[in-house]
Amino acid sequence: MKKIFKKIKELSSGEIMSNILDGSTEPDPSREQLKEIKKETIKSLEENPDFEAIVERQRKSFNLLYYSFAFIGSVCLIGVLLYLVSMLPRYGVENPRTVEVVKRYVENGLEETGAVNIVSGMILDYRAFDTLGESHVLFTALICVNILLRIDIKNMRSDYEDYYTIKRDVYYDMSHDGVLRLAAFVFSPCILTFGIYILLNGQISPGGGFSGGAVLGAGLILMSAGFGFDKVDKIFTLKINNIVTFSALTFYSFAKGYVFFTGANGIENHIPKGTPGAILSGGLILPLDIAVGIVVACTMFGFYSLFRRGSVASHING
Amino acid sequence: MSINEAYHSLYNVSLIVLAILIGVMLLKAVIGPRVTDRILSINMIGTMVISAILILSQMLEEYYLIDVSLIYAMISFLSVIILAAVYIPSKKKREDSQ
Amino acid sequence: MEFVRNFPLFTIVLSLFSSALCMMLSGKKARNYTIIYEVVLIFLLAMTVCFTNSNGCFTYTMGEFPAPWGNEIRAGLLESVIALIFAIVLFSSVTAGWHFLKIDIDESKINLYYSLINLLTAALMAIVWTNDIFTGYVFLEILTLTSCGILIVREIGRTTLAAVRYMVLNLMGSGLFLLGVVLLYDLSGHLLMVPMKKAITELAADPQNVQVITLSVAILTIGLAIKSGLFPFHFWMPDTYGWATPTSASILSSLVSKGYIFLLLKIYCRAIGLEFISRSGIEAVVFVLAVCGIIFGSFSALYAGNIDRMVAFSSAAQTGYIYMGLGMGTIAGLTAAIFQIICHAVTKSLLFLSTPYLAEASSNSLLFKKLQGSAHREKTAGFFFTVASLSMVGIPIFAGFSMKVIFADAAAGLGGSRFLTVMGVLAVSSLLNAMYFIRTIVRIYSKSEREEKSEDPDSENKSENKSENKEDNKEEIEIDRFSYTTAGIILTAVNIFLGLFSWITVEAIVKGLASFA
Repeated sequence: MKKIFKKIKELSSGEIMSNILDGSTEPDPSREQLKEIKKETIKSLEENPDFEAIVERQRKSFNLLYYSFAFIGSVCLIGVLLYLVSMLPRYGVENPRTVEVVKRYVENGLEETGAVNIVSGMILDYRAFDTLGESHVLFTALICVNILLRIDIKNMRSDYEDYYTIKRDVYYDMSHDGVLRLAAFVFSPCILTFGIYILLNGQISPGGGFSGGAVLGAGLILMSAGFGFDKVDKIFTLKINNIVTFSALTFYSFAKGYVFFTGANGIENHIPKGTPGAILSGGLILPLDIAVGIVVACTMFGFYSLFRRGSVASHING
Repeated sequence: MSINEAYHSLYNVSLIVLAILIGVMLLKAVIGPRVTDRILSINMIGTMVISAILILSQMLEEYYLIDVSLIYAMISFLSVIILAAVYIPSKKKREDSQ
Repeated sequence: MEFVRNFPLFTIVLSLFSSALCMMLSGKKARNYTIIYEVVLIFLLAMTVCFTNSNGCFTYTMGEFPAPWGNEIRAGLLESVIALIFAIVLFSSVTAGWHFLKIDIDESKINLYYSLINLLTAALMAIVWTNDIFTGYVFLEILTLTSCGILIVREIGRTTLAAVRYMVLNLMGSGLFLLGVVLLYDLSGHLLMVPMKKAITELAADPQNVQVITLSVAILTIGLAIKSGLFPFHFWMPDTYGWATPTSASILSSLVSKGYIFLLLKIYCRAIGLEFISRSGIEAVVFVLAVCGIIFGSFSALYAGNIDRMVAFSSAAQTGYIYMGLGMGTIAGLTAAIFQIICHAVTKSLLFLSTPYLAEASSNSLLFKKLQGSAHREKTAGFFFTVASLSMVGIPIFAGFSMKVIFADAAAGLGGSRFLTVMGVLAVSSLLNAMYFIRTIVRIYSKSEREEKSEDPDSENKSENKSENKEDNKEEIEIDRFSYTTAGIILTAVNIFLGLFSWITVEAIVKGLASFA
C-alpha cells in the first residue's frame, strides 16, 4: 500500500504534489523510467482493488462528517438568530429613538425631494451614494460574467471546440416555431412599452430604474426567442451595448458627483424639483432612473445572450 | 351580515385555498420526476400568484397592485418559453443529434 | 472652503468613471490609462495628507441633507495616510505585474481586468473614507465581487477551484456582516456611525440589552474575520494567493484583506465604542484567536510545499498580529495594529511580486527544489525577495523590526498575563519566521551541485527559453524589467523609511487616532 502511494507521488507532476520536506537533490527519473513506473502502478492498481474501496470509504466518512457539521452549524446559527430577534427592543413610534431618521423621510420627503414615491426619493436623493455603489455592483457582475463566458473568435484557444459550440447553439433557435413568433410579434411591443412606463414612473408610483430595466430586458429576451438572434443583433450590436453602458454609468457618476460637490460646498445646485405628481418632477430622479434602467436592460439581455451563445452581440463583431 | 363582510370572507377563503394549492404545486415541483412536470408546476404557481395579488388589490383597495400582477404574468410567460427551449429538444435538434 | 476638501470625493468618483472607461478602451491603452490614473491618485492623496495634517479631520456631506438623514464621508489624517499607502501599493502591483499578465490572461480580456482593478480602487477608497455603515456594506460587496473577478481571470483549473472556494467563503462573510448591520440598525435606528454610537451607549446602560448588542457585534466581527483571514478561517489563503496572477496576488493579500480589517477597526472605534468592546468580552476572544493564528500560520508555513504557499501562510500569521493589536484594547495596541497594516501591505506585495520572477528563471516551477540558486539567475528578484524576507523576520533596518518593537511597547502597558502572552508570541513567531524565511533565502542563493557539474540539461532549457524570448520583443522585456525594478525600489524605499524613521509614522497614526473616534 505504501509503495503505491509513493509511486503515485513520483508520477504526478511537480505542481500537484509536494515532496520537498527533505529537500532532496537526487536527479529526476528519466522519461523511460517514468513510463515503467506508470505501467507498474497501473498494473498493481488493477491487481489490488482495495485501493478504490479505501478511497471510497474515506470519501463517505468525510461526507458524513461534513454534512453533520454543516447541519449542526446551521441549526446553531438559526437558534442564535431566533433568540436574538426575540430579545430586540420594540421598534416603532413608541420608541422615538428608533424612528428619528425615518420620521423626516416620511413627513418631509415629498417637499424636500419632490417625489411622491418616498422610497425612490430616499434611494436616489437622501442616500444617493449607496445607489451609486449598487449600480456599479451590477456592472461588476456583468464584467465578471463576460470574463467567464465570452468566446472571442479572434482569440479562441481551441478553435475546433468553440467553433462547433457556436454553430450548435445557433441551431437551437426557436424562431422557426410559428406560434412563438406570432406571440412575440404581438407581445413584445406591449412588454417594451410597459417597461418604459415603469421606468418613467419611478417617482410617482412603485417602479423605478431597476424594475423597469428588468422588464425591458425581458422584452428583449422575448424578441430574441421569437425572431431569432440575428434579427435582434441588427438593433443591439456590441457597439451599442458598450456605448450605452458607458454613457449611462458616466452620466450617473458625474451627475451624482455634481450634486455631492455642490451640496457639500454649500453652492446652490439648480436642479428643479417640479410639481409632485407630474412626470417631470423629483429633480434628478427621472434622468437617473433612465440611466439605471438602460444599464439594467443591457445587463439582463447580455447575461441571457452570454449564457446561450457565448457573446453579448453577434460573433461577427467579436 | 352585510355585503361588505360577505365579500371580505369570500376573499379570505379564496386566499387560503390558493395558498394551499400553491403549497401542493410546490411539492409537485420538488417531487416531479420529469423536467416537464417541474416547468408546468412553476407556471401554475405563477398563475395562482397572479390571482392572489388581484384578490389582494381588491381587498385592500390599493389599485396600483394590478401593475405588479402584470409583471408576474409576463415573467411566468417568458420563463416557460425559455425553460422549454433549453430543456425540451425540438424535432430539428433531435434530427441533428441523431 | 478649500478645494482640497473635495479630493476624497474625487478619488471615489474618478475611480468609478475610470472603470467604465477601461471597458471601452483596448488592452494596452487601458493599462496605460490605469497607470497614469494611479499616479494622479497618489498626488491627490498626498495633498489630502498634508491638508489633514495641518487642519485636522473634516466631514463632507454627500448631498444637501445633513448627517443622520443623508450620507457623509469623513477624512482625517489616519484615513489619508492609509489611503496613500494603498495607492502606492496598487501602483507598484499594476506596474510590476504586467509581464505575467500578458501570459496569464486572454488578450481580449485585459481591458476588463483593468476595469475590475479600477472598481477595486473605488471600493477601497470608499471603505477608507466612509462614515456610514451601510455604505461600507455596499462597497464591501463591490470589493468582494472584484476580488473574485481578478482571481478568476486566469483561466487554469486550479485557479477556478480556488476562486470558487474564495467566493463562497467571502459571500458567507458578507451575509454575516449584513446580518450584523441589520441587527444594529434595528437596535439603534441609525445607519451613520456617530449617531449609532450615541444610541448604543444609551442602550448598553440597560443590562438587558448588553447581550443582544454583544451578539450582533459578534456576528459582524465573524463576518469580517472570515473575509480577512483570522485564525479558524484562514484556510482559503494558500490556494487563493498561490494560484493567482502576481498582480492579483499582491493586491489581494496586501490591500483587500487590510481594507476589511480597517472597516472593522472603524466600526469598533466609531460606531460601537472601544469601552463596550472590552466590557463585553469580544476583545478577549479576538486576542486568543489572533495568538492561535500567529502560531498556526507560522507552523503551516514551515511545512509548506512551494514558495507561494509558504508566503501565503505567513500572510495568515501577519494578519494574526493585526488582530492581536486590536485585541489589546488600548490606544497603543491600536497604533501597533495600524502600523502593522501599513508595514505588511508594503512587504507582502514585494514578496508576491518577486516570487514569479524567481520561478520563471527556474523552468516555471515554484517548488523549493527547483528554485535552488535562482537568485543567481535573477539578480533583481532575488535582491527584492531578500529585502522583503528580512523585513518579515525583523532585522533592524527594515520595517518588521519597528513593528515588533512597537508591539512590545504596547504590550508593556497591559497587565500580567496578556503582557507575557504577547512577548512570548512575539519571540516564538520571530523564531519561526526566521526558520522558514532565512532557509528560503539560503536556498535561493546557494547554487545546487547539478548546476555546477553539468551544464547540458540546463543549457537546453535555457536555450529553449531564450528562443521563445527572442520571438517577443526584446524591448518589451527591457521595459517590463525596468517597471518591475521601479516598483521594487518604491516599495523598498517605503519599507526602509518605516524601519528607520518609524517615529514619524507612529506620531501621525497617534494624531489620527485621536480624532478617529
